[in-house]
Amino acid sequence: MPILDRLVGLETEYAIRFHPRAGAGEPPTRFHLYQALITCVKQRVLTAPARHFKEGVFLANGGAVWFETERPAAGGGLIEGATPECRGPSQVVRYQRAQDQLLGQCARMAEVDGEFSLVKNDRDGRGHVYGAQENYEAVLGTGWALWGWRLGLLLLIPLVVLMWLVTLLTIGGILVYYGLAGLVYLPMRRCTTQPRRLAVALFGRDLVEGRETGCPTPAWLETLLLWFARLVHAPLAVCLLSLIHCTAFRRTRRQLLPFLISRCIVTGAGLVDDDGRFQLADKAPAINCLIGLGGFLKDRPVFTFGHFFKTLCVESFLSPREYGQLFRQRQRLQIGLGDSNMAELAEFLRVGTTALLLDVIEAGELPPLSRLVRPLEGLHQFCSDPTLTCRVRLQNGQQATALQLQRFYLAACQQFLARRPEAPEEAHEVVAAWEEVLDGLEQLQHSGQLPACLIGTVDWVTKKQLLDEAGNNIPWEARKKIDICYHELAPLGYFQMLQAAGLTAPIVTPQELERAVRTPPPNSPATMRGHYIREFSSDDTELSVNWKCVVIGRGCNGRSIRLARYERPSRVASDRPPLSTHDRSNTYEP
Amino acid sequence: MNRDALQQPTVDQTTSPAPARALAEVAQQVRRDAVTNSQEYLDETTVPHGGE
Repeated sequence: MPILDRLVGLETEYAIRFHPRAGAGEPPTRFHLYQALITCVKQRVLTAPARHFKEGVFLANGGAVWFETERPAAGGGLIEGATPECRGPSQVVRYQRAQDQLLGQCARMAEVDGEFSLVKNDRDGRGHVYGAQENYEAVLGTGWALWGWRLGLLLLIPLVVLMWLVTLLTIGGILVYYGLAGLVYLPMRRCTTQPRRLAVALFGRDLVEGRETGCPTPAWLETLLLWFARLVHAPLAVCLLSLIHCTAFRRTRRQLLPFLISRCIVTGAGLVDDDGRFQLADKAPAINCLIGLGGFLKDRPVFTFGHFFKTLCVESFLSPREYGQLFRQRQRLQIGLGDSNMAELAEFLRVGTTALLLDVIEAGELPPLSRLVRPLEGLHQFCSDPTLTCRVRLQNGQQATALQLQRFYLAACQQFLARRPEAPEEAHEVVAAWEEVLDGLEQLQHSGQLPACLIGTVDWVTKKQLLDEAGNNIPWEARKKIDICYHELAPLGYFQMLQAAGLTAPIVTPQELERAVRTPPPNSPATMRGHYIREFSSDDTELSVNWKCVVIGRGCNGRSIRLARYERPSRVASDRPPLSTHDRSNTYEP
Repeated sequence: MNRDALQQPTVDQTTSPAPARALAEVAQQVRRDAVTNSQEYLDETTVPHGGE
C-alpha cells in the first residue's frame, strides 16, 4: 500500500505573451513562437521527438513540452509542459519548478522579433480557461466495479471499431477534398487577383507557405472537422462516461470530492472575475460538471477522463495493445479542478494532501462523511467567499465551511499516519504544513485580516494582498493585469518580484532545480525514458519517445521498449533526500 | 529541499518590520506597473480558444 509512493505528474498549460518590437513586421504565429522556444530548449537540454499525435518533444529528465491546441488555424495555441512521472510531492514540485524555470528562461532567450514570455495561469482576460491538471496513479476499483469496468470495455469494442472506420473514412474524405480543391484552384487562380488568398482558403497555410506553420488545414475546414469529430464521437463519449460514472474510481471520487471542492482555500491561485470581484481560485468558477472528457463536449470537469477517450479513439487505433492497458486495476486518475500555483508550498500541498488522501481512501480508513447536496454550487460558493465563512449543505442536513471540511480530512490523515509508524517523513511534513496553513486561514476567518504568515506561501492570499494594496480605485483592466502578471515567468512577473525581494518561501534549492532540469526521477518510467534520451539523442540514431515506450530505429528495424515495468510502487530506490541534505536523484540506475 | 520554508512564515510584521516594508515597496511597484498599458497587456496574454 503506497504512502505517497504512487506515480504522480503535473500538466501545465502556459499562456503565451508576445510583445512585438517597435517597427517589426507581421507578428509570428503561436506555432512559430513554440518552435523558437523548442530551439532554445534543445540548446539547453537533450531532447527526443515525441511519438504522439500532437507536436512535442521529450526532455532528458523524462518530462515533455507540447504545442497544445485544437484550433491552430484559427490562431489558438499554448505551450504545455508535463513533468516526468514522479513519486511524492517534493519530487513533483522539484520537477515542476525545473520545468517552469527552463521554459521561462528559454522563452525570454528565444530568437523572435519582440518580447516573448510565458504566463503560468489558468484563465486569460477574456475568460478563456486552460491551466493545470494533476495525474495520480490510483486503484480504479475492486470487486464488481472493476469487473463491470472490464466488461464495459469489452462491450464498447464494436462501437470503438466503428469509430475507427469513421476515422479512416474521414481521412479518405480529406484526401478527396484536397484533390477536388486542386481541381478547383488550377483554373480559378487565373481568374482572381488574390490567388494566394484563395490558396490559403482552400489548402491552409502549411501547404501554401511550404513550411510548418501549425495550420495544416484551412480554418473553416478545421472548424468543420472539429464539430464533425464531436458529433461522430458523441455516442462513444456518452457510453464511456456512463461506464466511468458507474464503475471507475467510484469510492475515490465520492470520498475525495468534498476535499477537492474545499481545497481552493489552500491551493487556489486567486482570480479577478469579469465583474471585478475576487475569487479564491482561477479555474474553479469555470468547472461545470463532476466527470467529463476535459473539453471535448464543452465540459470542464472536476475529474477528467479525456485520456481514456484518447486511448479508445486514437492510441488503440495506432496500437491495439493500448486497449488492453485499460483493463489494469491501477489507472491514471486525472483531476481538472486545480490551479497553476506560483507559491511552492501551495503546489507541494496541492499534490501532497491529495496523494495522502488517496492513500487513506484506498486503505478504506476515511471516516464517514455525508455528501454535499450540490457540490458544484458549493465549489462556486466557497470560491467567491474570501472571508471563508460561507457554509454549504451536506446530505445529512448539517452545514460546513471549507475550513471545517479541510479540518476533517486533515484529522483523517493524522489518524492514518498515527497508525503507521513506518510512514515516511515527507507524509508528516505534508500534514504539518497543511495544519499550519489551516491555522493561518482560521485567523483570517476570525479577524477578517489577511494573515501575514501566508503571504508568499498561499497564492490567493498573496494576490489579494497585492490587489488590496493597489486599492479599489484602479480600473478593472489594471486589477486584471495584477491577476495575470502575478503568474508571468519573467523578472517583472509580480510573483517573481516578490521572490526577488525575499518575500516567498521556496522549498526547492537551486542545486535541486539544476539537477532536475537534466536528470529523470528514479524508479519511474521516466528513468528509462530519460536514460535512452541521454544515450541516443546526441548521435545519429533514430529515436522517438512517448509516455509508454521508446522506439529506437525506424520502420521494420525499429525496436520498441515498453516502460510499463517501472510503474510498480517501490520504496527501495526512493530518491527523496533527508530534508537537511542534498538531493541524490542523480544516482538512478536504469 | 528547504525544510525551513515549510515551517516559517515569510512575512510577519509582529516579529520583523523589514519584510513588511519590502512587501509594501513591491506592492507599490506592482500598482504603478499595473495601471500602465493594462489593456495592451491583457490583449497580449489572451489565449484564443483556451486550452484542451
